[in-house]
Amino acid sequence: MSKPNAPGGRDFSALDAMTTDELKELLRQDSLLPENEPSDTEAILHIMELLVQREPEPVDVEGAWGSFNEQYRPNPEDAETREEDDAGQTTAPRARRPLRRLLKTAAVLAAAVALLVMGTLTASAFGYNVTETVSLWLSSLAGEAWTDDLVAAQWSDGTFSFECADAANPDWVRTRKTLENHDLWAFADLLPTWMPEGSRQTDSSTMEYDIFYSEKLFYALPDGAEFTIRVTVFSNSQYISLFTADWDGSDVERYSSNGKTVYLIPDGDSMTGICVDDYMETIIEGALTAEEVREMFDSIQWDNIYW
Amino acid sequence: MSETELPNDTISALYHEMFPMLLAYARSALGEGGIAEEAVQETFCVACKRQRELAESPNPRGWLVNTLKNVIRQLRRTQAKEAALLAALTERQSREDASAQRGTDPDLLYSDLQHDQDYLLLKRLALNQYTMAELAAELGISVDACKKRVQRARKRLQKRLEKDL
Repeated sequence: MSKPNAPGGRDFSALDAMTTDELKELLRQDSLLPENEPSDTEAILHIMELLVQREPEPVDVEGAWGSFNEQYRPNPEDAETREEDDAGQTTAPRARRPLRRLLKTAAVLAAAVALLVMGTLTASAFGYNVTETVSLWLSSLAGEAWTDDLVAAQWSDGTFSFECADAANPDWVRTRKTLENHDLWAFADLLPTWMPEGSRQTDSSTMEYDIFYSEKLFYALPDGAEFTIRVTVFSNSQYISLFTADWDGSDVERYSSNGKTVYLIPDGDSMTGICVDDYMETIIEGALTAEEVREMFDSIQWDNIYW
Repeated sequence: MSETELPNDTISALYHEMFPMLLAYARSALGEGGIAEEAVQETFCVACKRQRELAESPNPRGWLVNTLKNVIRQLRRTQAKEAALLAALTERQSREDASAQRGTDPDLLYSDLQHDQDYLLLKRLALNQYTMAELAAELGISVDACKKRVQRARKRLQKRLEKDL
């Protein structure tokens, strides 16, 4: 009778007896499993260990580590970054934008794009003068004169609505095209329009890497409980599938909210809801019930999101 | 408030422990070429960017394996899309060439793909199996800049194809 040969008491002697080619084929098959189909991670790790042990020559880990740090490792704290222009030339290092400026830009873009698609949006997440920043940004984009036509800007009850007095204004038309060409995203549109009664925003934090921009909003409820909403927008849809690990489990509820798949993951007294789309990921987590998280996701106006 | 960050020596320890194992997996899935190693490097990039999830995971080794699997899946999808894009462009080129030879519509002629920088860039990745690091070295730019250039090339070629459909 074979003996357990793994820390968890699992018996992997059958794997130990396999040839290297057979083990490699098992890993290859595992890599071809559909995204939502879980595999036996413990067994996979055991096979990987076996393959490493059977390697005739050890892998040059130090060399790979050097290459990782030199060529691949992301460094968000770096004060300078090299960027390449459209002509393929490398330009001089450019200072990163201050955090506040970045946040401001995100909201301005959100408001400007929403103007194209809906005219009204919820933007309560950004507690500063959106009207002013919209005007400033649009004027820098298309010239000063025509922004006088930008009217009906209001900030009340968390709703920001505005319109352009002369929709045919050639500067405005040009601006719209510029926005469309830049694949701008409507950040505020990604937020729920329904919130638990008495929710109050207490803080926010921003993260920016080359591949994504992320905004995390902190909320408090009247009873002192807290929850957060984090929205991450990726620069390229290919990155989104990297973040689906660890969602499978017997207690994970999966449901469809307006055509989007939402995962509800309970954890003691708190609840985490995750929704992933082509370019963005929304995570709501904290002292909320499953019903509240569901209602928040259901209130997101997905149709208004402009990619 | 800041994200939970793992100390650098934790990332280093995980890297040194797991790199050979993850490489064994990647080589089984993708073959012995440099693409396998690049998939593992990309996995640790994700780990650096998702330190909170990694730090909170009860099984960091399993987290890395799952992440590698997702990187491999995405790599395959991207390769398939790029190959399909190149095939569509090549097919269009040969049809236009045949049309021009008949003298029917020379104005619709495509420029020669063999001199198109975007096409050649994607071809190196999709057909010649260059890694991003190899391509970056050939172009004399960073891996990150190379990724951006490839993204732009892919987008331009896609638009060009869609425009003419």
